Amino acid sequence: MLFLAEAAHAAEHAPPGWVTAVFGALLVCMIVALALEEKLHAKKSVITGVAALVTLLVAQALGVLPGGPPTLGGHELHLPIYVAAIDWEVIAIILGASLFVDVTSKSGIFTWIAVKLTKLSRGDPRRLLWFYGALTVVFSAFLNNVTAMIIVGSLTAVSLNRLQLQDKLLGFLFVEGLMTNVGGLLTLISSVPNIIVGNAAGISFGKFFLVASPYVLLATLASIFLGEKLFRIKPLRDDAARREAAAQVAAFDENDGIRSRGFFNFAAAAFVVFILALALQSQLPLVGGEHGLGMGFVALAFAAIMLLRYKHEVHTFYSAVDWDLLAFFSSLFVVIYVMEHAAVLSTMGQALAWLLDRGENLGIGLLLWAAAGLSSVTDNIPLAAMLAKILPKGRELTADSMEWWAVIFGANLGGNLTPIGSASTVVAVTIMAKQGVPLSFLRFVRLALPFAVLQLVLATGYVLLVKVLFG
Amino acid sequence: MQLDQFESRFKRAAKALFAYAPIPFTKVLLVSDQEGADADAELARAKAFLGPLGAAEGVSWTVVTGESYHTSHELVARVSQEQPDLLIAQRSLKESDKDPIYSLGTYLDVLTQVAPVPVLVLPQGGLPSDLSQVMVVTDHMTGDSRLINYGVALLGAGGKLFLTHVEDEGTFERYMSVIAKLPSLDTETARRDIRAQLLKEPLEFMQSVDAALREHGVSHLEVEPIVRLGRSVRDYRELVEAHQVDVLVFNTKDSMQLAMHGMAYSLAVELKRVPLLLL
Repeated sequence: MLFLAEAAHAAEHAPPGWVTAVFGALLVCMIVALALEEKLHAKKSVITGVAALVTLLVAQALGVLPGGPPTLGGHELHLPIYVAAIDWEVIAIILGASLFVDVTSKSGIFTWIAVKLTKLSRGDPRRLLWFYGALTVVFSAFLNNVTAMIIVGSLTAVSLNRLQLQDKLLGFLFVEGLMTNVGGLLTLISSVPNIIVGNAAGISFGKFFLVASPYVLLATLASIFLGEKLFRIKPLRDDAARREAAAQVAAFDENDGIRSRGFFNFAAAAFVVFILALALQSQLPLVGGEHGLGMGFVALAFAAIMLLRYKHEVHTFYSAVDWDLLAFFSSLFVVIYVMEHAAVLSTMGQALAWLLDRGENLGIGLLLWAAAGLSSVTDNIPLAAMLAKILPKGRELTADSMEWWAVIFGANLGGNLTPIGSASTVVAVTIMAKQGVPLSFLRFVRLALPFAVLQLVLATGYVLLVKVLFG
Repeated sequence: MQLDQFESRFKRAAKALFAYAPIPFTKVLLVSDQEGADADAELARAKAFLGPLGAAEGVSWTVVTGESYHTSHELVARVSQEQPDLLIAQRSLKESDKDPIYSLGTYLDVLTQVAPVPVLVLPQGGLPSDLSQVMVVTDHMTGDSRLINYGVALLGAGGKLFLTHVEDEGTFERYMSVIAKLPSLDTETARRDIRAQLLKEPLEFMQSVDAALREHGVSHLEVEPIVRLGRSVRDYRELVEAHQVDVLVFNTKDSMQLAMHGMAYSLAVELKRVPLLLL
């Protein structure tokens, strides 16, 4: 909220070049530290938290920050700058959605769906790959990428071990890891870059789904097909093997994790209503529109409704919330706020302008590939947050501008280039190691390259096609 | 942590199910320490006790009399030569002491470990009047369908098959006492969940037996699962007496040759009055 109100201030009081250079260096340090998160043995929230503290202190010392209290609707707010700088709508969506999904998963509905699909495959490896690949996309779209990878990946390990297909584990887990980032493109709440960029662009949930879904379908089919060929996953040939495999998966009991049939049905219905509420949020009274309570309220309200089921043990769900992620976002918003006032973002915007000035179509294509390249080596969340701020500078962008989509596609798909490109691919590699099929960084890149190139080429063509057809 | 939770949920959902496979008895070998008419009478008693199997057509019965072997090597060689599907012998075979303490007898000790076929050990003295109640001890491995299939093969119409699993309470309490000293694990949750899971797995396996038998048209017998936490040998002795069991079926051979060094040996030597089918 503070960014828009103070954009004019930032433009009027541009700091000297050396100040911008100092803050630019601090930003680079933070990004490098995030890329080396594992080496530093430090959580993301600690890295961005330290960065927020340092940048705030330096900014205060150099007089970069605007003076006076922040205002809302003409009224002064008694909020410190490091609180007001946070985009609380994004935090509310993430907190509400993760609590809602966590409580819903206690009903056993997600494991029920996953086991049911396993049984439908009758244990045939090729059918199983297609089912698990599609399931990963759907779960990534409506849960989050990490949870989707954990559910489908752990089921993959159990079912392939049971079917004695351990030699196929690498191929399955690899394809699933990559499909999380494809599924993460399907809806506005599927991934954090979507929430950040979608919010900045003013793209509604419904519109996001309509634009993204054809690409997600195409990329899913192409990627699983490629995985089937590259990892040589073939159907069972003889009747005896088919019978044996069918018997093995038939022994899975999809109802085992269901403690209460009533809560299971309630959770299934609540999940459908939750998705519908998000899709129709902009049209809903009180929550939709410019002054409505917003999508974050919808997410928190549904989380509260689900928590009523466990009203005596809500603390277990609170402790399961990813506080590292929330603290990471909060700190990141503070850092970006400071960078905005230190003119770092406008300087980066000039570089971006150079990219976009290469031509209307070429510029968008370059932006998509640049976003993908950057998100493959560093966290795609700060990248998306910064690009979402930089992109509108000096440009008249609307919710229909394809530049937003270039950032969304690039930031999500870039995660498929390296094992550190996204949290869900990190989970995939962790499961592989746990199952005795470790994958080195270079081997991951070598295996991922054809998938990533295929998905990025398709994305570039798709974004430009949408631009031509509807632009 | 979340990864482990989901993996556990899916592992729990992957059940071990009973697979029915009829046991084809074509050749039965009775190892006796008697000669002539006495050996024939022993065979007749064994056939009468085994009911449907004893009267079945197409099953050849052979008697190895006491004179035809003098060492365990000779007996093992004879068994290998005959290649039967089932071996029958009396407890304390060729022993002067017919009621030894804590032993099956030299010959049977060897046969139960070396012979590659099931051994039906008959008690000294009388046999039950008929074979209508069989108890299978499924302790060694949940998912061992072979044990149960042998139990089914022994029973005729109206027979009752008890499937039993006694989880050793002493071992359970030992682990619980360790968990109670670990601050990272909630003792009450561990006690409740581990106990429930230990008993759930064998019970679910046993419950799948009835469905599988009916699926294959085997509906002539009744199946009763018994699952509890207790002291293995003591509880089995109680169960055998309480249910008037005619044959007790359990594993004595495994790839590590450890079965007869554990509970199985205690059961085999202590339950002297009950016929035992040792697999």
